[in-house]
Amino acid sequence: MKRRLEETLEECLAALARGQSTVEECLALYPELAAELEPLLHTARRLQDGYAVDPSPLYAQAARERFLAAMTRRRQRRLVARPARPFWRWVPAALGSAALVVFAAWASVLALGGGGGGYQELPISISKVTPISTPEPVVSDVQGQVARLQAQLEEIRTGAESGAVEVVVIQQLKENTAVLVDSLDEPEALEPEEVSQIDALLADQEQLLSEVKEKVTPEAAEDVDEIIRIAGEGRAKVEKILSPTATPTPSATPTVTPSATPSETPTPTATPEESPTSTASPTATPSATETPEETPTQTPPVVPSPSPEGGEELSPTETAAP
Amino acid sequence: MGYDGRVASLAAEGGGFWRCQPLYPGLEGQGERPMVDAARVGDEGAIAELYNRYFPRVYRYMLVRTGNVGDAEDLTEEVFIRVLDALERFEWRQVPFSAWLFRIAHNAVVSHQRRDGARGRLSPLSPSLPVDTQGPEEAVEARLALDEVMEATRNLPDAQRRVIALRFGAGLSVAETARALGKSGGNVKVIQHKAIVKLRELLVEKRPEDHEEKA
Repeated sequence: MKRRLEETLEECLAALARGQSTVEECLALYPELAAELEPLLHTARRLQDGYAVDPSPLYAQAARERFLAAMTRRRQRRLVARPARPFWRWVPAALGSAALVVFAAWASVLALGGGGGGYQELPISISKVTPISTPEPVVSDVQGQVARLQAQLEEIRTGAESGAVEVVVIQQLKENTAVLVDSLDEPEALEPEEVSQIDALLADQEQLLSEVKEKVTPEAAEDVDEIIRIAGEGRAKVEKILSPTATPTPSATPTVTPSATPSETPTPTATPEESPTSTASPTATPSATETPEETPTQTPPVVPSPSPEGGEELSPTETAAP
Repeated sequence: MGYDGRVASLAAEGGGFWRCQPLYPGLEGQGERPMVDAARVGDEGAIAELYNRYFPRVYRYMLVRTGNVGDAEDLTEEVFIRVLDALERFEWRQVPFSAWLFRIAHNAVVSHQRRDGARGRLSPLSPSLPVDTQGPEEAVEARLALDEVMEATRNLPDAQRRVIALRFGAGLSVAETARALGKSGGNVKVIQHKAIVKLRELLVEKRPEDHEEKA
């Protein structure tokens, strides 16, 4: 019965709000509940009438202007913070520009020298050739993001020690972590050290948040879980970015070693001048022994080394991000 | 005709009843998805359109939550700045846009209350607060009504206050309110019912003669 009253109340409220029904019409639809419904509907109507206010025009105008200004600032900030592109991204443009210059020079030579038949008629003059696109001196924002996150982690760490972790800080951490993890979608825009630094930071973050989770409100704990999940995604991305260099290692070492070379070694020294082809066999043997030494040197860079220096570089003033 | 069917048929007819724009019909069916998608990828026209659409609703929501015009104004602006920063990460598969936006609004209120260390400062409404009425007498009456309603709402338990703010301030539907609060629709209806019963008691205490007449 009570359940029905709640649902009927909602039905009437929705109908009233949409203007399809009056209180009386609603009550007529549910005569058995009318006595209970009527005062509630009047109260609800009073609420709706009471809250039917709009912000003052002066405030609304000022707020709108501030919002539009913030939108403009954000657009400018995004343009500036676009990550620096590696040099090879500009190679096609550079090649294109170079080809254009060569073509223009060739065409001018043809035009002036009288060669090339019909081309002679065309007045080609290129006074200045500017590259189509030149790399701008843009600053990578990853370092800034990492620094911000580290500052926030530090804030959470100290908060946890004193027993009060601000929900706001957790929420900001979540947003910043998501931004940082998104930046891993364009790995070519990141330096390897930056990727390692991000990985170390995310690992540090995961550990800290697992410890802190117990000490925050249930509401914040949900955010903490979300951050841990995002950080996990980030670390998976890091692994993917770094993994291609690690794959060649297994094939190199085992197969080469059992070659039967020792018995052949005397022969090449005996006839060095006569047959140059025979000298190839001894050189093959030492190379086989060298390969095992090469493989271990390839593997270490694959393992992301956490850089503790990154955390120490932080300035506490950076925690002031809203 | 069942419950949903009756509501749907009523909803299909349209029209206006309240002094301001209708507060109730949520934005689910209003085809805002293309606008939100455009805003997500940085279309400033779409962002501005969303701002226009939600600004008064967020403001009313803040008014209900804080009971204070100054705070409501500050927090409304704060919400839209947060939305601006987070918009590109919004995903449809989690919640509708309105629910997502009002979660941000809720978080802003919580942060604000922690900063202030209070449940909301009590202060009279700004005398310049416009109410959608014609004459000065009506304006005064409306302002008194708003004062009264806000004072009563302030005395509700937090969960009820949140539901009232989303339903009567922001004008969200039950479904949108449920998504914004992470509750079921049934749960929202129960809380809403309790809140209205409680508000009635509080308002009757304040002006018993008014309610006697109506009853």
